[in-house]
Amino acid sequence: MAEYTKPLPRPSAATRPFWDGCREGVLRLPWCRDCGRPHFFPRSLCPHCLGIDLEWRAASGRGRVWSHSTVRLSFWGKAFDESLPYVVAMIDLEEGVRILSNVVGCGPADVVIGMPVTVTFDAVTPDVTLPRFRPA
Amino acid sequence: MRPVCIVGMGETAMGRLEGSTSLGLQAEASRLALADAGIKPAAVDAVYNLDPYTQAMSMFAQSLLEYMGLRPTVAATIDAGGTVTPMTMILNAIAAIGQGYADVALCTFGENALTGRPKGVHGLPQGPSLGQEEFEEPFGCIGMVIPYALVAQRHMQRYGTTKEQLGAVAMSARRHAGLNPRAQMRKPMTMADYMDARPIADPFGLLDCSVMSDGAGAVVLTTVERARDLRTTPVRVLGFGGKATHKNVNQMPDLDDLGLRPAGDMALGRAGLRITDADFCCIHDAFTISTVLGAEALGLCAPGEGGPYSAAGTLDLGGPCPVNPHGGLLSHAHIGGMNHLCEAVRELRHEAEAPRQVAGAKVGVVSGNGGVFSLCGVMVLGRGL
Repeated sequence: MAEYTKPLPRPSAATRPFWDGCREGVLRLPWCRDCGRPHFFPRSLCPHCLGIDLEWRAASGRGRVWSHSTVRLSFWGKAFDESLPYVVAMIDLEEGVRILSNVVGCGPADVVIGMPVTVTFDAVTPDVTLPRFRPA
Repeated sequence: MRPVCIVGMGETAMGRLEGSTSLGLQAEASRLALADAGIKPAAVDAVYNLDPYTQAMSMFAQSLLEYMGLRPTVAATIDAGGTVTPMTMILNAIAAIGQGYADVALCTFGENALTGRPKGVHGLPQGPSLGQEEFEEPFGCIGMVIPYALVAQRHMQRYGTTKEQLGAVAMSARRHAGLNPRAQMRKPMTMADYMDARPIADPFGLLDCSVMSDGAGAVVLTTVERARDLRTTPVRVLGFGGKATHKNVNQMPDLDDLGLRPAGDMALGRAGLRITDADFCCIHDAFTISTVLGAEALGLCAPGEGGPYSAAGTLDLGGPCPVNPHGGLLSHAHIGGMNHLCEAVRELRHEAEAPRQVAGAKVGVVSGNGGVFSLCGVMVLGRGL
């Protein structure tokens, strides 16, 4: 297998449960027990109330496209050349947080704002699985 | 507080300046600004600059003062992003001079972003991941084009903004650049040129994107009292407003909640003016959509109307409120928005080349943002004391 040259996440203590979840096939979100709200990206405190009593909950994995762009040039050396064109999208998850990812499983021209999507997991290396989204 | 004004302005050549260094460019712009003001270097007691985006360095203000042989009381590098960086330098200068901690402040930014970046890099080279880049870069959301493309796509879907309307923004900037002998991109642009440009990240092609430039700009501030004895027409900061909401695009609020509008309202309110009082605007146009959103947020047109407003030719010189008479980041040069401040000063001093000069300009509005509309700032500038 060719070496994976695209950028990889470098998990911290605050983000590792998210990436571990992806590897296990579960999209997890951090929730704050103090204010009862989820947030994303994962971090060491709640951006809504600065609470630190956080817990991880499995998300539905369902959402809708908030915006999207079909990328036609590799911005990381030549690493993305083989993937062009690819779709970067921001997805509004049912839980009320937004996540940036890719839409896969359909042609770039088929992606529209508001379209329902569901998570799919892509094991890009033995250690890292990326959550991407496909048409629901 | 002692009242403060801008008394000096300098810009280097812009474009591909082989052999240039970021320090050398900042020093040259600073030398020009001090000479313009007629202030001796030894009088500079506050220095504000920013280290180059293409090669992050620490304590770059010290590097500059050492290079120029300055010995100021205050020196700092300030990174607020985009045009908000020079605005924040100016705010710091006003505070330091106003409180009497300094008498003459030098604010500069510029770099050799075009010739100084590694070969084969599109846009800015990538630095180490800091924070939530962990949740963007692995998905191929890298650099600034893709985040702004996401914003543009949202605007197009929501308001029906068209690719041709974005093209009108690029063409207006190019027409203005054609009148500016210092502009980097002066070759006339047709709609066909725009539509046929290399696709980058939908809806953007190459001509939706600002240029990469070598160059630097600088402004010098001092007290109004001292300005009375100087030869240049002073320019006052009549008001500033700012609003920060996030850093990376994945945390961006929706179009209605961007910081541009509250920043503009605050700045104009502070100045006691309305947008109709502005003789021209300099809007941070890193991408074509930036001008559209900037025009809407400043109230030049209604929310969602930025596309038709641009397509009607309203941005051009001769219109009700010309936007980016220098050609903007899209066609003049991109040195972090420093040129937007310099152009505003030049227009307010009535020193722009004849076809570019907005006749009788008294009030100019500079609107900018750092990041992806992350930290927004608006500064209202006025001619004279």
